[in-house]
Amino acid sequence: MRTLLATRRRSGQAAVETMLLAFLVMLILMSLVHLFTVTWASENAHIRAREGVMHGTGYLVGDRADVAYTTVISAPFDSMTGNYTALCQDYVCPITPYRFSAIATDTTPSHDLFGSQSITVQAVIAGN
Amino acid sequence: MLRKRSGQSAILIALSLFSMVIFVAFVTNIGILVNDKIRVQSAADLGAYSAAYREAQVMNRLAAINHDIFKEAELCRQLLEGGEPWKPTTCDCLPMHPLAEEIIAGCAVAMEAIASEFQAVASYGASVSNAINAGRFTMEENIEGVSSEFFEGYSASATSPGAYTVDGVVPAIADFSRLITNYNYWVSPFCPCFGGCCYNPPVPSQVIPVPSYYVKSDRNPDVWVMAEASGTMEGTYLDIAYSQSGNDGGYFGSSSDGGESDRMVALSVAKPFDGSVGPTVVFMADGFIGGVAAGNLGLPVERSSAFLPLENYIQPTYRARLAGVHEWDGSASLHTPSSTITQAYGIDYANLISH
Repeated sequence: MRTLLATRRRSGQAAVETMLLAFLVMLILMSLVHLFTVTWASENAHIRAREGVMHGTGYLVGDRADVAYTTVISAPFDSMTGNYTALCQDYVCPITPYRFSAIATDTTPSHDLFGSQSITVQAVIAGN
Repeated sequence: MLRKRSGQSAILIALSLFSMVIFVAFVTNIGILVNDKIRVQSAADLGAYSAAYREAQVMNRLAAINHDIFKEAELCRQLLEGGEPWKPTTCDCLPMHPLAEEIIAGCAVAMEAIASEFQAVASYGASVSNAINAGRFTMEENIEGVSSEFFEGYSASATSPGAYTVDGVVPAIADFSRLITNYNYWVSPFCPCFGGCCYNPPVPSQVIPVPSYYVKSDRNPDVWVMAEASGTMEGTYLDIAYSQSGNDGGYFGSSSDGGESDRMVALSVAKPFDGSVGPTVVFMADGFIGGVAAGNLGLPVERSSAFLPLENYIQPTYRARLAGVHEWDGSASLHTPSSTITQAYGIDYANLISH
């Protein structure tokens, strides 16, 4: 009886612990990757929105973040210089309210680990 | 031999889980930190850009008004040259030609009226305060509740109430000074010497100095705006030291005393560029533009042809751009980022004035 107790099979214990831990570690790692993608997507959207509102979409490439760019007539955009010009024609230069903005949306690709996510950011330049 | 080993894995798992939860919290905090930093920097950039854009509008407006004054000055010269005062047919033996006096007086009144508008647009309330308000408005549009601050230097900045004045009206958006145009007109040296109207020595003309259009005091790119955006962590997520009693949260569960150590700070410098309100005094002092005497500093504008090349230096084409993104210098005194300005412009602004 003593012999039987002493020799009860424990050889699989480490394996079970390892598997359990490996699963947990994997879960944690996936969480970290997911957090990283959220951070990455957020920064990507913020930076692209900022770039879009200041210089238009001319410098933005790729489909990771589409930028919807809006402006108003009082803040004409000069595509040649990639910048805004204050409205002047024939030495008539009014000081007018302005508002131009860009919205960037970063949507993760379908092969991301935790399904899809979408982060939308708006950047605004305005003066009333 | 029979020592109990049950529960061993539970302890191991518990320890591992605790470590991993801490690790996840750490990573989450880093994500929040990076995200906040990007947002605050964007707010600073866009705020500075907006203020610079408003300044660009004002500078263009100033250039347009200056152009109006300039054209009046040119018209005055053309009237003198093209009419009787410049080419008299009779000798009236007067020390001043009455028609010329009338023309110049009319020009002076017209230019002064337009100059008043220039001064109004360049005044602090219409230019600098307006630009700062635009910057603040933009920051608030991007991050609700963000703290904003704008800096100005002693002189020659976008927010300059400093050393320079516009006809005694201070402060102005930039260091403009008023050019004195010397109008000279014909006085006949050939009048017969009788009746007490003989000039001795004879003079070819009379000169009347009249304040006309504006020039910059130097060539330096002296209009800029520096903006600071700052704030503390918005939410309480994973901030173990957050207190709802008034203090905002701190990153990584830090002291959360709501003080400077908890604040995320970003600086940005922007400026209007690529335009010209008018020629510079330094340029004018060089004496000649395109082989024509340029006037100012005692030199008369001799002919209306001198105005033609000068007009090219009035360009209402300002636009805004970021001048650079600079890190907060922790060694500097609070709210006196003089080292940043010094690095950016080589100018020692020992005591910036904040708004």
